[in-house]
Formats: sequence, structure tokens, C-alpha cells
Amino acid sequence: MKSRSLVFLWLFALLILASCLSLVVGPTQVSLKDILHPQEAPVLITLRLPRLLLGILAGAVLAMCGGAFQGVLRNPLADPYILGVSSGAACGAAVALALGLGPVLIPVMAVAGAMITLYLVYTLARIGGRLPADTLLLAGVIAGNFFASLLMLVMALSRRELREIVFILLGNLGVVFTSKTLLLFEAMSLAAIACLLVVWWHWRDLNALALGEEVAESLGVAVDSVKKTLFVVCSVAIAGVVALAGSIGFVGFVVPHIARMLLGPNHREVLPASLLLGATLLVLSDILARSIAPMELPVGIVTSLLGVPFFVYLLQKRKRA
Amino acid sequence: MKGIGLFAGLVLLLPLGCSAPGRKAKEQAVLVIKDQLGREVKFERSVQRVVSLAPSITETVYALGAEAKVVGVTTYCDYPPEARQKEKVGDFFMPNLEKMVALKPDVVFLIATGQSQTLMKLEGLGLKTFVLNPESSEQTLESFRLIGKVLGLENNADLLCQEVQTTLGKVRDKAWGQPDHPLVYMEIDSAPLVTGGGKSFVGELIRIAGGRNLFEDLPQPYGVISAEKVVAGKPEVIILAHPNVKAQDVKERLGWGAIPAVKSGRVYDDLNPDVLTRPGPRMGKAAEVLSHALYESP
Amino acid sequence: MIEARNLSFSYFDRKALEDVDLVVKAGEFWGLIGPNGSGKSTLLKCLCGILAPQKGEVLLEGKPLGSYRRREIAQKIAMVPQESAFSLNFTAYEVVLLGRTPYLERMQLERISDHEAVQRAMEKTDCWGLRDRRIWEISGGERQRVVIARALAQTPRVLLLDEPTAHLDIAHQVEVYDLLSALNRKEGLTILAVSHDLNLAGEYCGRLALLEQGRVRAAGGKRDILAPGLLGEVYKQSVSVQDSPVTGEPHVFLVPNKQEIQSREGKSP
Repeated sequence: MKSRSLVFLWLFALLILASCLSLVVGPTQVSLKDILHPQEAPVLITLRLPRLLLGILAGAVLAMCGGAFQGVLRNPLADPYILGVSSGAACGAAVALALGLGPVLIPVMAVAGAMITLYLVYTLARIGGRLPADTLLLAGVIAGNFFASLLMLVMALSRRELREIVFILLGNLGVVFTSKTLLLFEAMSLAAIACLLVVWWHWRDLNALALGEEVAESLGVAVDSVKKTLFVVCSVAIAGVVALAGSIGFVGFVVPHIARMLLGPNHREVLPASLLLGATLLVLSDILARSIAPMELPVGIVTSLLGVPFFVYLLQKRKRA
Repeated sequence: MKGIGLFAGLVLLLPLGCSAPGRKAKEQAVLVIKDQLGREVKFERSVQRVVSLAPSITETVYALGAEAKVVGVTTYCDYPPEARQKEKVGDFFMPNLEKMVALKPDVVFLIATGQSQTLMKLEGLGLKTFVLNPESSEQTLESFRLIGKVLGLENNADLLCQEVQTTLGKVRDKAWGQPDHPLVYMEIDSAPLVTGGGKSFVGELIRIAGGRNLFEDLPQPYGVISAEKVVAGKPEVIILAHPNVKAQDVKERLGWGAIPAVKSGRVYDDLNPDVLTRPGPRMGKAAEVLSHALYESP
Repeated sequence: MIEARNLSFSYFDRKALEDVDLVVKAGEFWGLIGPNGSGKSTLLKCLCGILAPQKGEVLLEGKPLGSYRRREIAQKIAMVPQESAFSLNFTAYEVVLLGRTPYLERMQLERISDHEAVQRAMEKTDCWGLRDRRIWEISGGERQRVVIARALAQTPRVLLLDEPTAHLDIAHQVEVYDLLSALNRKEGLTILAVSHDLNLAGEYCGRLALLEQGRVRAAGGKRDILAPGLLGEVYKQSVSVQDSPVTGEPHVFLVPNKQEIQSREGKSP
């Protein structure tokens, strides 16, 4: 038990460190002291802090929902986009952009897109009242591809440049906030936090599901209801993140695995650990993405570059076991 | 009697026979023109049917007076307005190859960047292609001359070049005489933030107009930059070369209020983005418009 | 204790159970036998409420299953599935601890009473020594004991098992059934075990239910069911039933086909 708390302490400290680093790194000179007196360095509050908060939120949501999906689908290869949700959300956001609907409606349309995708996936995957995991995955892949193509179509028709499409598909935390959109971001953050709390609330159900759906059912877990709740709640949170920052890859897949390696498979610990780790990973990736070159890199490239060697390492470890 | 008829027939036919070799002699003068990719393109007969796969090329062809020869344009070709009436062959990235073949063009004009796939496909279909690469003002002027040569309108091309060069010269002179050269941030798009660097076409126009580009050293012509770099750079003039955002929106961006350009109100959203970013006959106008933004009071 | 009345269940495309009536009294040890596809697993799942029958009902302690809350059913009935697919590498202890799920609220942490129940269950199944080992790293026999321990940790009144010794060697088969028998005798645990192995069923179970194509062909005392004529008809295979020379319990001997016997007689001296 003691070692567990220590791990969490470390994870929290890492996040704080990454956050401080994020606030200090940038073209304008900012020192650690300025963090305590932000009035001296307005760039901190206006530009770096919102970017940091977006990074923390996106990383936390993606990692925790990725872990939840891996648990619900009983599949270690699952990630937050496996049900096609991110494609649907990006499509909704792109339609809103193309119609010129303004910054408030973009995340709303993204959530709508995600819900439509989820509904489609459910309908496709339903077999006699149940939602078997393998058909869900298949339906998710189909839906994901369909909406990704639709997204390309919308982008092409609305005369967006390739570069914009790339940034939506690979993710970018460089959102330029206005005071209005900042309020929107705050509202979305609250909604996302609520979603994450609901996910964490189901930790024991996720543990029980690991024994098999029928066993979980026999233990009193309302399996179908739990699945639906988690899918909907995670999809809403993921849609919000995609609407703001595009679809950032790897964080949602890799982080829960690292959390399990550190703490064992119990979701009571894996979920919050994933939250902390995901936020840290994304914040660090964003620091690299905006400092390595004179131009901004899509942050998804950095997370993939960091994630691929780790995935290889995981495979090697599995092979030896 | 029959002999005379035959002889008369032969005599009548003679002029035809004489002129035919003469005409053949003219047609046999094959025109070989090197396009801006360095390919040598042969033209056996005069070009009557032209397809243009880029808006800037369309503008040039119209400026040279060859409107009648245009049989196909892209969906983006909106200037001059008459161009919109022409047959559409798709857009910049996804041309409708079947339609192009059906139009039986004598030449298809393409741009070097981003159309290599299309080039290969067109060549595979046996269409004659001519590639332009107008990245700088010099290359743009050269493209006028080359297009003029292909269309047999070299005189018009020369006139156009002179006209544009005169305008550019005026702008340069005006800039030279200015005491200060404002620091400019040129925004090509807002989500993500994209700017035109020193190596871009707009970058050169800014230089000609006498401005200093905040992102002069950008390694690529166009690139995504972070908001903080713009704020830290403290540009004196901001030019919005895209219709998505108005000057008012820029003022509302968090942290941008500290930028000198925003404080002094020198944020321009009324410059036509097509004029600024298309390397074509309106190049001179683009430089003029920039010059106006830089040196005339708001 | 638990009763199926007029139970009919169909999957998507096929009928699995038809008009099944079965009464299991408290403290009885039943074996559920029958050929492949006769509906044994389906019946088990209907009895613990995992599957909802299209017709008929299941009664638990006299009341319909539907009148109970899911948690209440889980506190009274525990199920050991045919195959355990653990998608996460929990420790044996953590797996057994999950058996306490029906007694805990969502955010409630396990109490001392829960940990005690886990230890008791693991000691009964002789896997307490494995408690810190990870579930993917122990043998099939050890894993099965952990799964049974998990079911026992639910402190159920009824234990349903779907082929609990399917992939185990004879030593482990005896181990598991000895344990079940002891639980039945000493604690009065009502047990219903699906079994392919007629000899295990004959050796240990008190009563048997023979299923054929979704119907209960016969149910009652094991000597009534383990009759060569009945078994031969249902399994479409000749058998001979003899008492075990060691325990006196009925055992079923397979009889190879005539040709096989004849060709042997021709060869052997």
C-alpha cells in the first residue's frame, strides 16, 4: 500500500514539473519566479496557461478513456478512437466550421457527431440485444473509416488546405483563445471532469469485466448498462477534446499500459494514474512540438514518436513472458 | 477533248498541290519550349485549346488576351469573373481526368508544386503538359513569357511583363524613400496559425513593398507558428490574408492586445487574399496594396 | 431452493431450451448431463439470471428471479464458467476479492469481513498459498481453484458450475469434486454441476438431470438416470453401467462398436 501512494506522489510531482517546464519554455523569457508573480509576465496567463490547461485536460481525458475502453472491450489494443468517435467528432466540427457556425457551436457539433457515430456503431454491432466486444470493435473500425472519409470530403469541399487537415488529424494544442472561447473551454473542462468522475466511479465494474462478461453479470454487474454509460460518457469527453485539439494519437493507448506496469491492473489505481500520466505525457510532447523547430509540429507526431518505441518495448516484454 | 478536260483538271488542281507543300512547310516548324521544370515540350501546331489547372495561370492566360482558347479551368479559377463560365475540370488536387481528355486540349498548364501526381496521370493519358513554377516574382514574369510563347502571344506577354515590372518598380522606389520599414506579420490562416515566411511569394512581396517579415527566416515558404511567437515578435502591421477572421477578432485574442499592430489598429483584413497569394498578373497590384497598408495611415 | 418452470430459451436463430422443468432442493448435489448441444450451459445461465428466458421462469427460494435485484441474486447464486478468460493479469487474491462485489457499493472499499471471506474461500480451495501469484502465470488446475474460490467468496447458497474440470488432469478432477462434495456435505451448499464426464457425475452427484435437445429427458436419483437403455438412447452410444469396485457408485463404461470388438477378437489371442 505504501509503495502505491509513493507512485502516485511521483506521478503528481512529474505533472507539476512538466507544467512548470511548460510555463517556462517559450520564445519569451520567463523564469520560475514569474510563475508565482504572473502579473509580471502576462504571456504566462494569456498564452501559456491556457495551452497548458488544454494539454492537461486532453491528456487526462484521452488516457483515462483509453484505459476505460481497454477495460470495457477487454482488449489491450483499444484506444479512445476505436469506436470511430474521434472521426465522428472531427467530422461534426468540420461541418460546423464549413457552415461558419461560430466557436460555441463547434464543440456542440463535435459531440453530436460523436453521438451519431456511437449510435451507428451500436446499431451495427447489436446481436440479439447484446453488444459483443468483437463486433463492437469491427463496427467501430467501419464507422471510423466512414467518418474519416466524410471528414476529408467536407474539408475538400470547404476548400481547406491539406495542412489544416493534417493538423486536425494529428492534433494541435496551439488554439488561439479569445475571452469568449476561453469561457467555452472552461465549460467544456467542467463537463469533461464530470465525465472522468463517472468513469472512475465504475472502477470495480471494469475490474469485474476482466473476468469475463458472463462472470461479471453473475457478480451483479449490469454489464450492458455499464458498457453503454461508459461509451457515452467517454465519447462526450473525447469529442470535446477532438473539437478543440484534433485527434491526438497514442496517448490514450500507451498510457494505461504504463499505468498497469507501475501499479498492477486494478482500475481503482490505473484510471487516476492514467489521468496523471496522460496529462504529463501530452504536456511534455507539446513542449517539444512547439520548441523543436521554428514551425509548430502537430503534437500527434511527437506523441507517436515517443509512443512507438515504447510500444515495441511492451511487445518485447510480452514475448519474453 | 477528254485530254483537254483532264489537262484543265490538272491545272485547276495544281494550286492546291502547290500550297499543300507550302503549308506543310509551315507546320513542320516544330516549336520546342522548355517549361519551368526544365522539360522540353514540343508543339507541332499552334495551340488553340488550353486547359489551365491553376487560378494564377488562368489569370495570366486571360491577361494575355487568349480567353477564346481556354476550354477548361479549375473550380477555384474565379478571376477574371468570365473565367467562371468556362468548363470546370475539377480542382487543384483532384482534377477530373476524363473531362480533360474529352475536351481535347492542345496543352494543359500545371503548377510545379503539388501537382506531380496529376502530371504523371496526364502524361500517361497522352495529353501535352506544360509546367509553370511561379514561386518568385522573377519566375512569375518568366511564366508570363513562356505562356505567351506557347500561345503565340509573345508581344502581349512582353507588354504584360513591362506593365507589372513598372508597377513593382514604383512600389520599390516608394519603399526606398521611406524612413522606416515596419515589421509585418502576414497571417495566411488562423486555425492553425499559418504565416508566409521569407521564402514565400507573399514574403517577397512584403520585401518589395518595403516591409520586414516577422518570419523572414522560416525554413519553409509557409509554416504553422505558435501564437506566442507572434506576440513575442511585436509586429507593427498585421495583414490577414484569409477571409476567416476579421481585424476585430484578432483584437479579441488573448494576449494579442499587447502587440503594437493591435494597439495602433494597424490590422488589415480588407486585402484580397487571392491577389496577395496568387503569383500572376495581379502581382503588381498586390505589391501596391501591401505598400498602401504599410505606409498609408489606417 | 432453485427451480426452473416451463423454461424456454432461444438464441438468435435456434431453440436451446424447451419447456424445462427442474426442481433443485436445498442441499442437493445435482449433475447436469446430456450430449453436446443439449442445452446444459444455457440452462445454467438461465438459472443464475445471465440469460432471460422467453417463456417460463426461474424461481429462487420460491420467488421469481425477476423480483430480485441483480446484487441479491449474486449474493445467493455463484457461477463458475466453462472457460475463464482473464483479460487482465490480476493476482489470485484480487480475483477472489472480486467475488465480494455483490456486497459492496460502487465507491466502497473492501472491509475486513470481505478480506476474511476471501481468505476462508481460498483456504477451502487450497489456493491461499497462491494469493500473490498472477493469474496468467499459474497452471490451469491452480487457476480453476482460484475461480472456485472466487465463487465461494460470494458466500452463495447455490453454486452453479459449467464443466468445472474440463481441462484438468485426473488428480485435479478428483481434487475439485472432492472439494465440491465436502462443501455440499459439511456446509449444505446446493450444487448444480454440468458435466461431460458421466463417471464423475456418477461418483459424486446425488441426483442427475439428463438433457436431450433442449428438454429434460429425465431427472432424479442417479441410479435411475444412469441406466444403459436411457443413456444409450440419448447419447446414441452403447454403454454399460457397473458399480465402482472401490466406492460402489455407478460408473458408465463405453462399449466400442461391433466391428471394433470383432477385429480385436480376431487379433488378440
